[in-house]
Amino acid sequence: MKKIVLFLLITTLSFSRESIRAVSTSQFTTEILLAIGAENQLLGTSYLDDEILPELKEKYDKIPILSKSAPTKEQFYALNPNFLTGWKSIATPKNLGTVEELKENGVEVFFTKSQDTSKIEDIYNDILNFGNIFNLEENACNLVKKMKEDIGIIKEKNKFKEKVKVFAYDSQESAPFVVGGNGIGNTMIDIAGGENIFKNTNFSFGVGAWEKVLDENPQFIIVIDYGNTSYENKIKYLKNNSPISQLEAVKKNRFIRIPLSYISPGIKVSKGIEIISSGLSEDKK
Amino acid sequence: MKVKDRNIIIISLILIIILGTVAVTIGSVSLSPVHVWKILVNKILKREIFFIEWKKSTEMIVWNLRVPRVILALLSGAGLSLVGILMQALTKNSLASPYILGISSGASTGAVISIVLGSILGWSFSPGVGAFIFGTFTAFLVFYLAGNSGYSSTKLVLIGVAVSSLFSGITTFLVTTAKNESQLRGAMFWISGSLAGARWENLIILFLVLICSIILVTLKYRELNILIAGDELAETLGVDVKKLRFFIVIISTFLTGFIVSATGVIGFVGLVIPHICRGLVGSNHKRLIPCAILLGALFLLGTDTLTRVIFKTQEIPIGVITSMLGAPFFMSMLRKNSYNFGG
Repeated sequence: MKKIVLFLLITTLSFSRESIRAVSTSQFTTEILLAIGAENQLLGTSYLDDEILPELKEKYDKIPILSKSAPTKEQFYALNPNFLTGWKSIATPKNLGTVEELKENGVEVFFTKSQDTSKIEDIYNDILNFGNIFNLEENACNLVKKMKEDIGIIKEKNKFKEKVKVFAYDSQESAPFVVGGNGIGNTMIDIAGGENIFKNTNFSFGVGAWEKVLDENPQFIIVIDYGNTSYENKIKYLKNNSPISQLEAVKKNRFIRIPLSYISPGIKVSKGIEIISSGLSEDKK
Repeated sequence: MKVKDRNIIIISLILIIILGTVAVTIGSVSLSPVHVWKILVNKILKREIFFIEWKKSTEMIVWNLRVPRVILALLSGAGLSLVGILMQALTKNSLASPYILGISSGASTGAVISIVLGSILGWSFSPGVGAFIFGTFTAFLVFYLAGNSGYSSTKLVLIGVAVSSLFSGITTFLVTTAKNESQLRGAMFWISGSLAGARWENLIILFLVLICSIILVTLKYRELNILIAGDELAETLGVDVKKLRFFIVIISTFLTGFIVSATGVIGFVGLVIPHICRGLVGSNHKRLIPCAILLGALFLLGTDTLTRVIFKTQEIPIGVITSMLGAPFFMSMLRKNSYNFGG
């Protein structure tokens, strides 16, 4: 049923593809759209988590930024858009209204499947779907091909290596906010040759427990860099005041810095996996 | 009556020891109680009495995370109950508690302000300090606004409610304008309250403040009893009511400030435990104070343990459990016992 709906959506959109006027409300969808060359059909963006991919910067700067976080209905409709994509949370009554409401106002909504799953294949499919919708199939295919190649190389390299225990720390002090087992982050760690110590949780990002980290004694710590607490401050906290300051990985500075957008379900995952993989293969003294 | 009191104290102490051990043993990682006790003995005596047959991480979990958390639960449970007793004696109003009087929400506003300001000014600002400063300020504000007519209890509670909504408005404003997710989560910690942040270095001050307050309040138990009977009667019996009120305000303000700065806002304990204890031992502060301190400590220890074990991977906010357990018990208590509040 879902496939049929998707098919119908894509075909209807393809008929009117000349006139797509899209708004993208997440960094990963913005980056997908820019990467496949849909910049002329993009009216506005919002919700930038961190730096846009350098090679897309020039394109990105030409498109108006509606808001740092969720745009208001007024900002949104003022652009007269007919297509919306981005974080799912944007289509709620408090933000831009429900999907039904948006449709009634002539806005088609397409949310990526990969924001809910942990499969890299879903990202590929999302990119191909965008290619379809925006009539840029070839660019989308090439992008997916390139990502597959990059990830394939890393997979090949780690084929026979032993898995390394990894703790992926997002933020917070009283209880750590971590990468859980049900999201793209966990899959990326896995492909890069790591084993997420919180892989048995059912969230993609969520509250873990320091005691679990102590008990598992991970060999490496991935630190996700974004927001108002700088990477340096997070490291300083882990080393000086955190309950895990005595762990080998902390004492020996086995930290891997990764910006948040590299661990979100978009075109940066292949680079993200590369960052983690090369971090893990560093000399484990 | 005396035997009953002693029994309550003994039973509470035994329960605290048992529940304390249980709390240290279970959690997202289960540990053996034997190891737990051996680690504790080694750590307390600072010598290797027992041969170390456990992983280093077990020791860190027990000593750096769970023991401080148990102690924080005991200290803040005891402290909140004591504050509840003091405020109820001061206002002669059974609704008075730091939560109702708006001190807790003032403190959480302070914590959230320091989170937001810290990110704007770019240095790390301890939310605990913000909570303490604002909690203290709010308490003085509430008592100052209500103070002219000798703490009319209704007036005090109404002012408390007003101040409380003012501060929760400010907090909501700050939270909605929070720049990002991690700021939001940091703010949520102070609004919903949690004992997860317990660390040794923060416990010592709280312990000292609590002990001093308990001693001072216990010394004044007779005056508190008289105060409940009415200001005029107290004056004629030679109690300096003004001085006593000032004493109560200072102690309860500082104690609440220190507790909220360590745990965030945990409602209900300060309101319910004193009532339950009045039902158990009567309204004489000589018996009421020790009973409430022990029961409050036990109650918060129990609820905090529940928050950690209901779901293995995630904690439930402690306020949810305190009200879900405390409220029904409180209601049945009120129905069964018509104790004399005084006056």
